[in-house]
Amino acid sequence: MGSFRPRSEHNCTLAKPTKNEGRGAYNAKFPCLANHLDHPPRWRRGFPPRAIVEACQSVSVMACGGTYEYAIEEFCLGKFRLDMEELDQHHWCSWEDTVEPYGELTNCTYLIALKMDCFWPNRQVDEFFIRIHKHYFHDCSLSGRQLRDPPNHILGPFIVVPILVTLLMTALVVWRSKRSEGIV
Amino acid sequence: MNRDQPYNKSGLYCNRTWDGWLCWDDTPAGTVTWQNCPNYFRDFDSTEKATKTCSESGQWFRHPDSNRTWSNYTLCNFHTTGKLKMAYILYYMAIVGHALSIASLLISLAIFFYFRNLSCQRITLHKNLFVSYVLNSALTLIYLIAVVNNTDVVERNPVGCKVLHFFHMYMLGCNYFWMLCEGIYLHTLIVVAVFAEEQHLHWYYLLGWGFPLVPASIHAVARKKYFDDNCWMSVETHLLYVVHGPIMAALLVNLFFLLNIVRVLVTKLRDTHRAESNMYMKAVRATLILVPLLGIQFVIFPWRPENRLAGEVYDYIMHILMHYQGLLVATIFCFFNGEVQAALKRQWIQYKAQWGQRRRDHCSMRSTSYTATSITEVPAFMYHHECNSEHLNGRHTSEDSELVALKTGEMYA
Repeated sequence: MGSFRPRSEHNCTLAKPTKNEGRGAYNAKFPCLANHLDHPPRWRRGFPPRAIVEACQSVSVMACGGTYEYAIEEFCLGKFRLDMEELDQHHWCSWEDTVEPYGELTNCTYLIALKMDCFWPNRQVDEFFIRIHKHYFHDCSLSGRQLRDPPNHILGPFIVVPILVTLLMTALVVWRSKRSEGIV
Repeated sequence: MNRDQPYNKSGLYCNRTWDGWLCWDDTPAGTVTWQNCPNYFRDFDSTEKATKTCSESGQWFRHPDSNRTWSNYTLCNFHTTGKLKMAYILYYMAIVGHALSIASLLISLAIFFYFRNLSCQRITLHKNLFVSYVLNSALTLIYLIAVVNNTDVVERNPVGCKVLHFFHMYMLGCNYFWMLCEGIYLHTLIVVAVFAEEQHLHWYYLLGWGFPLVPASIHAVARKKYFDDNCWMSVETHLLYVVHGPIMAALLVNLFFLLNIVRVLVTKLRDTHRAESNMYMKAVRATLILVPLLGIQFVIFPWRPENRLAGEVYDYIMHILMHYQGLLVATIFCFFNGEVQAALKRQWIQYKAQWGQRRRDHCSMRSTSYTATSITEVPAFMYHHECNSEHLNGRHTSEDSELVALKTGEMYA
């Protein structure tokens, strides 16, 4: 990631990127970003995520409350929403399918926080994610990533039955070897 | 978090929150709540605790430097480097243990196969036991080197590593069930059919090689269905008892049989069959020592001490008990065996004499040196004379007259 120098005096406007824009068009829309980044990051699929935005406001006040919230709602949520809509609703609870858009969303909020000189994570991003979870992941199973033992009424027989079979088998062998006495 | 009940206790409390890594529930004011560290970071130990303080005023603790709410995850990776070092030491210890076990067991097997006059039914059971130990050590070595030390394989989670785990559990079962076969054989020989003829070994083969498939398969099925973690590596599950339960049952039954044998030898046979009972006492002694040693790891396994130093000592002892078993079994059943020692000595003297005869021809020296060295050099503390009863009953025709002379010499020594 290139070094983000403090906002310059450029009077850039916030522009919402559209799909299918090449690097050139992007740089035209966000010259401040191009100037500020030493090594522009490589975007996936050839065009930059619509989420990366240049918060080049000449207003230098730390707008990490409302403006930040507005920024992430406007510029990060859109892509995430589209990605999740492409994914079938039944797959929303599948972590393998959602990890990529979720990761991009997280990245996007992080970059915006970085550009706006805000701490990350912060309260707004927390609430933002709670809303996302409430909407997309509200009925996913609670167990989640942590594997748990089956309940006792299943675990019990799984353990007791082999022990009983072992004891039975041992008794069988003892009985058979007893009976084979006298047989050469 | 959104689905949980709203806080219903009186008093001030801090609201449930997500701090970026973990969920924290509603906490009463003025308390410190804790939960296990998350496992999604490489150097986080998920057995350590993360804490979060709720201040008296019902607000989550804010770090003084940044004035942001802050949870204490410092313990999660605090001890990690030390623990990692310890883990590597234990890992190399395990590898060395299994390698030594394989070496000593192969030597013992070679001895048993080479000296044909040693073989009898008990030695056949020993051979099977040793083969199962060799295979178990080999599989464990493959598992340790290819899977445990190799995080890519674990992440990729191929079917092969689960199959390997299945065979590992199977061989573990084979080990302990062959020990059980030894105990049953001795029991039948001594208690049930006193020093009688040979038994059919088919049932022993079935119990030793065939039956352990049952717990291993049940474990595989249960693991696949209910706790399908990567490569089935986790030991945090009670499903492992599907395999360890029958093993412990086998050990307990074995112990019971052996104690019964001792009881019979001490009480009933002392008067009637004095010579045989002494010999069998020595035979049983070895097995009686081995069974608790092999089983004790299962007894003390659940109780790892909380104290750091005691925990490390516990780990070392457990690893020695678990991974050096093959070496112990080979030593006690073969290298400390009086007959084996005698046979080896004879062979050595034979080679020395043959070599010496190339230099000078002195046939008369040989026979006197045999009996003299054998009787004086055989150690008094001998473990096994298990095949002696069969020699006594005339079952086994010894090709070597010197061997018979040796035996009678030892018996009345």
